[in-house]
Amino acid sequence: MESRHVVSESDQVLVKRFVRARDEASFRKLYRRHTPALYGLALRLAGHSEADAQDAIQDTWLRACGKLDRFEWRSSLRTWLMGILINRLRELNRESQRRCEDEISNECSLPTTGRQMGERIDLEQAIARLPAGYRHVLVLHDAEGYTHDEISALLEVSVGTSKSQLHHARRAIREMLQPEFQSNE
Amino acid sequence: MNRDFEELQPHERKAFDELTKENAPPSFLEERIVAALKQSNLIRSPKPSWWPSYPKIAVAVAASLLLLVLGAWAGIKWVSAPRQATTPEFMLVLRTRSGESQTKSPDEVLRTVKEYSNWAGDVRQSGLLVQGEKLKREARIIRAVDGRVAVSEDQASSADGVIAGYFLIQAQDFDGAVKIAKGCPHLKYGGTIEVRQIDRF
Repeated sequence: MESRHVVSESDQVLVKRFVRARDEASFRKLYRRHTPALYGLALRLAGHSEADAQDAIQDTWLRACGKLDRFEWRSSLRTWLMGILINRLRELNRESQRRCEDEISNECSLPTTGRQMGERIDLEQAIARLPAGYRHVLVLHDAEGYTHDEISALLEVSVGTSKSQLHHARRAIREMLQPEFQSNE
Repeated sequence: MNRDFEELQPHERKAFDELTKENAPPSFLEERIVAALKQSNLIRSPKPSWWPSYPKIAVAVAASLLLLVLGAWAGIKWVSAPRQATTPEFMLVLRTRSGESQTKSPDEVLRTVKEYSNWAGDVRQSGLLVQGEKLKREARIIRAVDGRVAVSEDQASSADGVIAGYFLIQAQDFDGAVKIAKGCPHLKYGGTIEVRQIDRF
């Protein structure tokens, strides 16, 4: 996790130039350097919905560019961007849930942790099938290496909730990845 | 219950470590985001690579430009033949009502930019989009008054609506150009689109 807190001089140079001149070239360099990692995280957190991931990436850069002049480098640029991205994905998730509550739509089916007998899925697919709350904590903790304290701050939940969500997420994942469907009971 | 919350087993840890950490975004996303940032005035268009950084270079470049312009003017009758007449090109001039409020929330801007860029992306994918840009309202109006050139700073305005942007497209004929223009989200927002053919001579 240490590497996430290392300030990149190159990022600082680019950000400084960008803030001063608002130049497109500096932005494109920053975009190309950080977006593949952001997009990878966005896809995973969004359950591999490309449209949601792309919207979240766009909103992240828009928000970041509006606030870069106040960025104080207490974390790396990427960590900061990931924080914005995670927040935006949570908002999108809430909006999606609200739409589903407002509409009677078959398209609003909830993710399912179940699998058909004999169906084999990999870890990536299993993560995508988790409910959003479980998925966010599991991805941040087990795939990205965030601590519960960090997750608590990022997702605005208590540390206890973060631990509880991870507990349920791991149980669901293990169940989905068992060679044969078994009940824990 | 507690067993589930134990640390990941080595094979589970390995599986998480092997997950791809990066994923290349689609190439259109970068352009879409740059367009959105321009729309929000968060970035400026790049200056041409020859743009001078220092006064001396500026003078040199200005002198070169002057020579270039003079040379072009002097040699205009010998210029090579105009662009090959290939597919006709049309300009879609996008106008909005001058009284229309320009204030939009960031989310509205995002949605609008996304719609326009999706439409432009579709036209581009079909190989028919040459270029397009949104225009700012700020304008300089240049007039000849009593034999002198007067320049005034103003907001663009027109009884027919303010020109908000343009797209340059290719189409076989007017009908083809109009068909493309009809799909532009600009119409949905109450704007009008004037279709004009590029007159090459």
